[in-house]
Amino acid sequence: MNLSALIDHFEKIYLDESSRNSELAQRLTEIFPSEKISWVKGLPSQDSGPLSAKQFGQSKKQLYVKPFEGHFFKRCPGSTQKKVLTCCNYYVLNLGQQCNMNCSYCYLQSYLNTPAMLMYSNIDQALQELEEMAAAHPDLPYRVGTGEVIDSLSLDPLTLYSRKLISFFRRYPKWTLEFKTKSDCVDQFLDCEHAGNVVVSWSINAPQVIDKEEHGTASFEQRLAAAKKCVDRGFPIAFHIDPLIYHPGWKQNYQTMMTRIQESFRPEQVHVLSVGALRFQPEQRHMMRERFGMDSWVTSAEMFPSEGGKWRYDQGLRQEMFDFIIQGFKSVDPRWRIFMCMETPESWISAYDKTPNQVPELKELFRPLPRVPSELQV
Amino acid sequence: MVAKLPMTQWSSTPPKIEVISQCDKSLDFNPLHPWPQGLPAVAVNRVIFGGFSQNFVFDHHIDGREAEKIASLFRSLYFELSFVEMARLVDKATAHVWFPISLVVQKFGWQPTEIFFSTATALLKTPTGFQNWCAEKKMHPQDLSPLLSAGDLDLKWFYRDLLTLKLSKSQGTRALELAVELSLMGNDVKTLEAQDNESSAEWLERLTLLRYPETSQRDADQESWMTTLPWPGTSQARWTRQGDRAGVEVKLFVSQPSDLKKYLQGLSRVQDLLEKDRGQKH
Ligand code: SF4
Repeated sequence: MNLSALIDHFEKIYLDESSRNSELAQRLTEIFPSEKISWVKGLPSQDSGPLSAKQFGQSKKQLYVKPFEGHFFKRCPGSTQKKVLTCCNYYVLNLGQQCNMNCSYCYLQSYLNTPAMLMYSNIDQALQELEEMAAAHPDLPYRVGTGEVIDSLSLDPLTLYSRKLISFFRRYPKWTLEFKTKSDCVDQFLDCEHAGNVVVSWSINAPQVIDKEEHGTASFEQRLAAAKKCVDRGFPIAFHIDPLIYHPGWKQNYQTMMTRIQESFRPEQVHVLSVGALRFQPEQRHMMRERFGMDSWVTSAEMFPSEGGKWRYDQGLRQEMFDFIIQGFKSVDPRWRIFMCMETPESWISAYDKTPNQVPELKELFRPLPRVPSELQV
Repeated sequence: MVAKLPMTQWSSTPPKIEVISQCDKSLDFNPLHPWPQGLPAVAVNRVIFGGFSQNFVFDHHIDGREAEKIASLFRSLYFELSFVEMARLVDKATAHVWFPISLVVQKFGWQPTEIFFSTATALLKTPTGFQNWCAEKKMHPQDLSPLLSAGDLDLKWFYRDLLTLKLSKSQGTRALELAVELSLMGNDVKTLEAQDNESSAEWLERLTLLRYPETSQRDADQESWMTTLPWPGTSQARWTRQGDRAGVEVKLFVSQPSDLKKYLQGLSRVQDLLEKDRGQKH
């Protein structure tokens, strides 16, 4: 979505009085027509408890801007469940929550209880927290991502936060910042000078899966085109082939996806490829069914409870899908760096005969790092 | 069951005794437990809250804006309410804007969310027999979530079979989800309804097979392949599924150490075959 599509997308912008002096609030008042803007003290309707399907859909169309209270930094959920899942050392910087796109499997459906999309106005505080981490451990290879409960870039034409972050990370070349998106919104930061440590990554899927399950996102080809623009400006890029979704003709469709990636990029241009299979919290299935019916490949999937509580495909099927993708890259060129995200140690061992920190080219990603101050206070 | 007798603490003036015909019975939500005989009904501003079939009424005068007082009084009249009763109350309360239904819902331990109210509405569209089954089994709103996706589906066959086969709470919860999903997936009612002489467990298993056709087929293939393996002596091997993992469960009977040795030799032959098979698949 470009800026004018975003302006059309939102029905209402609530600006909290406490954000009045923020750059973001100022910018939004300039961009949006005044009838869409309301200055508020807190959200007008703030029911507690889980959202209904209707409220969830509605929350994508209302933006609420306020300062974030508390610590911005959290570790990636996978890395706090070490016993069960194998995940990379990864810190999450949430700059808001909810998303303007609408994927059938989106985990926000079991997570959110705010009837509007949140966007935090105090990014400067986040940068200050980063400064503190930097002062303590300037040389450690921290990885920070901004796309956990909000897409990193789909709203960036509104906030322009990417520009501030890129300029901040220029001062810490050993750190890595990752934007993770399903949009093609990159034009707003392409002119920024960077230190080569800002990875722009796309969650990508077979074109048929994107068309059927990832509503309102950029198409497969649009994502590749945006990635190309980033490569041309020297940004490292990454692809997260996640979630793999089983469907009739999956092998052929995923082969098409792999072939297009391989003919568009060289392995050294792609910082990393990660792969994960469909998974969700069991309670999420009801909202997905209500919102997307049973015609979706996600709601009609054959899912089972797994260790850790999430529902997943049968392990044998997952393995077959992982093997197909990993082989699909490695057999063409062994230099593709590909790993599995949010997977169980069994899947790792089955695919690589090793756990991630035994795979040389991935070791660095999984090396345990000191915790950030806010984590230690929990 | 009535929790407490109505007291004067709810209104500044003592409640008046009225004859029931003077009062409004429109909140009657068919409470499941009988009102104690001889105890007058309780009303607020002539709207009856409990004891709908009594002759006399204790009528309290409470300002309609005093939501907390009104909700507390209502709560004091019922020890507990099932979700079905609450759903009926929600429905009846729509005619009384002053009745603090959200607060009442909260006082009975539920969250008055939009999901709660939509599930209540969906439940009231089901046949009374099913509603009574839900009350008897103490079904919670979460157990009935599939109803939110059911829309205009005709599920009469399901409600009938659930009652005929006397499903337990867990069976009924599972069956409801399967029935809704399979119907939404376009399956013909004839393939879904219980067959003559089918037990509840058999019916559920058949619905599960229909909902998980590919995994069921894969499990069946694995199971028949597994039976061709040279399991040692009297061991019993069975293909089982535990959540997202399926595998072989082997039972051994060992009466002396030499039995174990024989089993281990036999099992190592099976292991070789399994590894060979895995190698071929990769
Ligand atoms: S892009 Fe991500 S956050 Fe947005 S709807 Fe899709 S899965 Fe959810």
